[in-house]
Amino acid sequence: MRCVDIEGLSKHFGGLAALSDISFHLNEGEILALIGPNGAGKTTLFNVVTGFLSPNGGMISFLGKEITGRPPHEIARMGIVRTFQLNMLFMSQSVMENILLGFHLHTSMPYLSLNTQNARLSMKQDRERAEEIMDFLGLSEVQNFRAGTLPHGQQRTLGIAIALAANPKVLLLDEPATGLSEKERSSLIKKIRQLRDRGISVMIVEHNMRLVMDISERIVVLDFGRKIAEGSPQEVVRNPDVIKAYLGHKYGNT
Amino acid sequence: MNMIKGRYSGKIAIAIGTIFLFSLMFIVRSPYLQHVMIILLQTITLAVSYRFITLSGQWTFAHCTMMGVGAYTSAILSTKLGCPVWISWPIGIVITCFTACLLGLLIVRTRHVYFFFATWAFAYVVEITWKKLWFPFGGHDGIRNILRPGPWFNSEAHFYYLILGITLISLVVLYKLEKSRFGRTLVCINENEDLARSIGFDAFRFRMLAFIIGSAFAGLMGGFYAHYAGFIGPDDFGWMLNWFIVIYIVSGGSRTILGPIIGTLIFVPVMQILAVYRNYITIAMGLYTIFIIMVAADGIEGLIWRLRHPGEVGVSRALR
Amino acid sequence: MTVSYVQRRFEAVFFQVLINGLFLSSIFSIVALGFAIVYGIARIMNWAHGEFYMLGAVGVWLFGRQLGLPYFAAAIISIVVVTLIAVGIERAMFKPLRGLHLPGFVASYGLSLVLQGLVFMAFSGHPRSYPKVINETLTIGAFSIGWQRVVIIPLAGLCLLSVFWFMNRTKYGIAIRAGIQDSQAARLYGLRMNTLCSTAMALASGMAAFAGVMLAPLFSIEPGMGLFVMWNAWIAVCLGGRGNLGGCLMVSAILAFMTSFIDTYLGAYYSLIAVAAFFLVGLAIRPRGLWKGMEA
Repeated sequence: MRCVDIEGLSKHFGGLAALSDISFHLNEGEILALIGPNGAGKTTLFNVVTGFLSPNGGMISFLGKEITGRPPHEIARMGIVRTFQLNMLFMSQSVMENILLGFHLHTSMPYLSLNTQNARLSMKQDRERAEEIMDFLGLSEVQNFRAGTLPHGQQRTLGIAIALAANPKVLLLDEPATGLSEKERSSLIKKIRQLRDRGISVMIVEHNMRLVMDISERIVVLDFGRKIAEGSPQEVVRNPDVIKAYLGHKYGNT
Repeated sequence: MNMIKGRYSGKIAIAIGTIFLFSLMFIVRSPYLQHVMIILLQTITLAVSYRFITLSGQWTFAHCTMMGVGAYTSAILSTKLGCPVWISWPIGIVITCFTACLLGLLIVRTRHVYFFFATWAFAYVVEITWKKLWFPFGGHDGIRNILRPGPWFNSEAHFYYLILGITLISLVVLYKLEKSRFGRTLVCINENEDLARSIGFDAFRFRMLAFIIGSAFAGLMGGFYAHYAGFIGPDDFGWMLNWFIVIYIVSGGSRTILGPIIGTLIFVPVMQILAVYRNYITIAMGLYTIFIIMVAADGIEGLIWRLRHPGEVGVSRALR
Repeated sequence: MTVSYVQRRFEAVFFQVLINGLFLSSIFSIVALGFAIVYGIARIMNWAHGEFYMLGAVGVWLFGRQLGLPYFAAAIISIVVVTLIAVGIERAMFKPLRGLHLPGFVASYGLSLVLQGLVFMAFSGHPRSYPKVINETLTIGAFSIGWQRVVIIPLAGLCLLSVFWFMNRTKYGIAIRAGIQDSQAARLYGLRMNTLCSTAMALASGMAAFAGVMLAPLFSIEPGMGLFVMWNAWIAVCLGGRGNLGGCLMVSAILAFMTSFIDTYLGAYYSLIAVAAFFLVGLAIRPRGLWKGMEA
């Protein structure tokens, strides 16, 4: 069943075509990798799908409903949540507070609570769910540390935790493995698989080919804003256009 | 309030303070000093509500202008239409909210200095409109013979109790708002707007609400001032006053709710004393502004915080 | 009412609006461009920029009327003095505040209060004036205007052309443009931001003082005269976008003609309202500027 459907998507900045006529889809419960050389348009695609940029043409639909051009907060409420290439956190808040913010969409705690019984109860529920997420991602020891003081790897993980707190149906991970050590990366692979098992569909932009080959069920390849290949990892890796794009013409024609 | 240790000692201190403030009228007898205290309390509410708006990263230059909107509305309704004060005053607040909403729809999407200047432009235009239209604003002369809220209000002391009550309630409300989920979300949206939007927060709506709520308090003070002073004019809510409020908050600090209170407590008496040297006030305020920005842009409060937490990184909102 | 009377009236008003519009465009664009350059490179919106314009006029009055120098000598000395003062202020005050939008702005507002206050005290509260240098009038049909006003248009044009030449053909000008686009990259290429910012400030204040000097014979010289040009410069930069110098000039021209047109038919108050409305609506539609400016 198709979860996210992208048809004919285009985006240009002045004379530069960042995306030209991109079409592909994400199935429910699938892990799809989006790869391509630098400047291919992968992050631009994420920005357009999540509403941070509006496209110049094409259509995006989520579970049958059209979401092209909607503002980011609406798309997030519908269930598509993204992470960012750079560490985007609320640096001055603690880890626990960062995650609690993600819950706001799904909490019963009102905005103006007067410390009533109900408010305290929903606060307790939120904290429990936050602890669950922190346990899952290994952030429990640092829950009271300020986000700005964490090492890079944990900041990256916290970014994913915040996105998870928003209860997504589709998770768009933008280069989650950058700067992670070997151990952190294999742990990340395991976590993403577990998320998929819980029913979250994942689209991941990554440069690390080993991680991509390991984790993805399907791969879409972009180059200069165009889709040049789509298929299983084995198919894509042997595709001559893909090899050309990454390594140059010399290698592509063998 | 974290300087007061212990859970109950803080509450006892506040209780004692409140009793002291209420009984102040028996100690201070001169009507002039009572007037100063009234202006002090009014300015505290203005300053704290201004700071509330800055939680969302918006520094406005039109806070006193919003006060004027509330004042003029209440004054016009009560003098020209014979409306009782207890109706015209709340309507003044409603009109102020409405004005803030309209202005906000136009400019809340802007940031930093653009926002500041846009509110300045608004303040300027409103001020020249007040000065130009004889009807209904009374032009340069303003509106006179504004009714008192009631026959009981026949002395400074009685107005003092009114403004004291209003200020205390306002401080409590603004404090609670800041600490509530709404307030905390506001601060986070200001800190990293893209992240907040990506998890479903409508930044625009939050900013609008902050701006409207803050301006509502300004309108509240405007209504009070109109019925206290008995006459208002465009210069009472002019661009210099808008500027002074900013200075009070910058000087006192905007880290916690105490900052604007400190700034006001220092400046209002100083302004009263220096009122005679009107020509020099401009230059003095200008020099002081430059001085405070160069030395401590996050105010006295920020300075104290930095002394107590050496080496810690905490970029104040004022330093963006 | 004969046809020729109506025709003459129309001619008069048409030329009034046109020439006045060009005249205002000239002043507005010189002041706004300098302001935009400083904002572009140092990211400080200098509220006191209008005061440089004012000081230029005050300088002409001081050196010309009080000290008896001829107009051109007084003008040149005034421009040089204002530029030196501005660069001094930039070094002392703006350097540590570069990039900090709000503090820089607040401090510059304080500076503007100080400068205006000093001039007010020096003038003991009375505005001053400077006599016209050119006394002939230009007449087109039923319309006449003093040459003193008209001559500003080509002078301003010359000024803008020289700035254009400076920004595109000289080492410093190109360096400033690079600094506006990306200050970090500029540093990596060895450009010194301090020199660039001071040069930009010298250029900007020189231009503002030049405008002030040209207008001294026409407007009354008083501490608050800067507001008139700064109002426009602000809007031009906000709507033009940071770093978008062409956009800034275009908005200045639009505002000038708007002001001229509405002034003639409805009066000064309505032109201010119209300009403010244009500004606020423009911001609402495109909060980052009507054209693609650079990230502030």
